[in-house]
Amino acid sequence: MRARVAIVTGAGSGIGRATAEQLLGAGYAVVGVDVDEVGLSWLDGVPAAAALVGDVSAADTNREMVELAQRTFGSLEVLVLNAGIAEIGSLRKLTPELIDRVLGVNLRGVALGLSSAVRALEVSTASAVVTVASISGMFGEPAMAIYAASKGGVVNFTRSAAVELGPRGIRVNCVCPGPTLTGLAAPQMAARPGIRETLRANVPLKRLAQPAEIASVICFLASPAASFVHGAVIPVDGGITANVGQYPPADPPARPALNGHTVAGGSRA
Amino acid sequence: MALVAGGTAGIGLAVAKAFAQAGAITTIGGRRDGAAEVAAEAACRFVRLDVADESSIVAALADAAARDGKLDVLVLNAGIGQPPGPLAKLDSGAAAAVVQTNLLGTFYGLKHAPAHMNDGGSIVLTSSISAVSGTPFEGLYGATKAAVSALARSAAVDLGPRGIRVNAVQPGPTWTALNPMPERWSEVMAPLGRKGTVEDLVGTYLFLAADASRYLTGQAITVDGGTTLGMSRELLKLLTATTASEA
Repeated sequence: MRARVAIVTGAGSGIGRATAEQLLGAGYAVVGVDVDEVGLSWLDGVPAAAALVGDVSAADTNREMVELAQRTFGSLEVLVLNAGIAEIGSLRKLTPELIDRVLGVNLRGVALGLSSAVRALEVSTASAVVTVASISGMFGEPAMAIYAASKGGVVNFTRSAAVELGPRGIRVNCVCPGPTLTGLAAPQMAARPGIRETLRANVPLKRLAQPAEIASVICFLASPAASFVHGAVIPVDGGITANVGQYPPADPPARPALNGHTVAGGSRA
Repeated sequence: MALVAGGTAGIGLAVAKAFAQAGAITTIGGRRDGAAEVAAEAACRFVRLDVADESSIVAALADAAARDGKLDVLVLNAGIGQPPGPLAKLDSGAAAAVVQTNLLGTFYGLKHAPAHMNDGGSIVLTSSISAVSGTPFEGLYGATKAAVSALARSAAVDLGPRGIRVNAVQPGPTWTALNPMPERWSEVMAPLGRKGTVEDLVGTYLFLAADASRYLTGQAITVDGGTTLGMSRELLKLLTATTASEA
């Protein structure tokens, strides 16, 4: 049987790279897109993979990635719109350039990506789109209003696309990561010493996420196991948004390392 | 080790079968006649359980733990519907029974199960889209399911430090033998344009039980083919046609 074909934007690092790795591991052919050529070079020589260097805020990049998937692998079933940028900036210092840059990549990039791929996706009977927003797109975030606005836009773009494209057999869902150890988060961590500890304290699971832990949720939504999940917005945040925020979660009890559980996935690290 | 409370029919049974097939030692808790036979056919163990009765869940958890060791996965799926009708006509005795099973039954499970669970385990609650959208003739049922989704959030905050995750599934209308519905309904209401079946839900339960979701906690995942997103194209078409023919 021919492999299912996926496009992953932002595949050069972090969540996008982890997603591309897991999709390749699951037998997908993958087209990785990233503005960072060096970041994307991990795909060199990987069988069943193709790379496209480009900026998702440009219409050309989005058209080319779909053409590359169809030309190289013959079809397109899965589209993961993950590319994003984060910029810190208080509202007093906001510049038109920052607004355009963040909205351009995060919201325009997602909209152009999906719109370029619809014709290719509707050929398949089981195609799926996963957008990557953020819990900052669901609730407020200090000093990141434009980022939060762009991600809030992605959330509602996803819902609207789900209503419009469901009848065409295209499932569309959104993942909202919490604090994740990626390059995107590095500047915030560097800018505010001690922030990592504060973040950790606010997460009920008492740790930050690895990119692979967001990627596994994206891969689930892309897979037939999620056949009736449609238009869902799923936070993957260790429980942050479960908490109303008045009180921090308790400190962990002193215990030995976590034990494994085994239903469908082997033991935990 | 997995325990599915309310696992003798419908969603719970399908989930228990899937756990057993994935290699988990799975126990079905149920109260119906013939439940033990249903569990045996599904390659599952059985424990008698009525979630509406706190002492029953205490005993069932102790029995299962004594036999198979600590739980890694708990699915609290047992629930009952309400007699359909507006709130003004709902019998108060029937109302109390719905609250007792759907809300307090879930609470009893969340109260007593963690003591019998391994750190790092997963609890999955069955809620409903009635938790987030007003449902004609099922107002109290919806209220109890909203409470179930809220319990998932609070329990996730409570149990997070132990690495135990708690999430809810909010199914849309799902076709089961006990709950057949007109085909036309989901053609119109669900953007995916087809009915949801128990098989459409099993994948989400497996996912929430497994390590693939290990950073996901305190969430209510809606699995409804898009029913709660807003007006579907079909519905819009229908309404437009109706309006045009009225004009």
